[in-house]
Amino acid sequence: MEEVKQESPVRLLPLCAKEAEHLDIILACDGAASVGQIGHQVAVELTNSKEEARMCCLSAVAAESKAHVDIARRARKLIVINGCANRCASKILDKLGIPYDYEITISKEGVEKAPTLDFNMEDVYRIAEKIAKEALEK
Amino acid sequence: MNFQKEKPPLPKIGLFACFSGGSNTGSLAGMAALEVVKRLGSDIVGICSLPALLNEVPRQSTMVKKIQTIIVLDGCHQACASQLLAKEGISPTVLVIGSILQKENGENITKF
Repeated sequence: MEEVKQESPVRLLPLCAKEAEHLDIILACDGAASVGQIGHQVAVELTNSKEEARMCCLSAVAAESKAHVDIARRARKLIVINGCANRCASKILDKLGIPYDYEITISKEGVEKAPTLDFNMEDVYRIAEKIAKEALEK
Repeated sequence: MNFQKEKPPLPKIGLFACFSGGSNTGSLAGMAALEVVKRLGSDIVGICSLPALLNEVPRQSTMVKKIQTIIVLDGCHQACASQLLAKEGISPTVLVIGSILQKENGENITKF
């Protein structure tokens, strides 16, 4: 019997190392509280809904991986999503002297920081929409 | 959403995960960490914040020092999370998601 090849359901994202100049790169805190989880999920939503927006590895930037620091510097726009007032994601970039174009902190967007991994998707969609309007569609 | 206000107990195991989402392996590492907490309960295992530790947020640094066992879930061979913890003087048990899946399925899922 002839093997039927199914099209892969996986949507491959543009490679940030190759296309950083044409991409809005999103670096998000993915901390251990509600707001960190929301920040991460907002970055996922924006990556999935905007063709030229792409989340990239904050850990790799923090670890000073040359390729990833380079991606952050070359990005068309660099968007930073912090979970709480500690602003850890922004501070990682500040320490490395990497400028960013847009910064948002989830706990200032009407979401309470709480020691839980549970969150409302309504908050995710609302904040993703705000970032899209204020930073990605300009 | 209403949240409980009580301070959560210190978990026996602290889990750090690459959850950067830059690729499938990073996302899988983060999702696996969330699943572990869901299955074992937050009194056994808790997720620690890598960005907060790096920025010396006092509550996070103090908590990590008190936890008996630290496990790191890295996404790929770059092992960024482990490297960052090593810089902080922490030697955890390290699991690399990409390597685990390659061992189980015989396929390298890191495509780039």
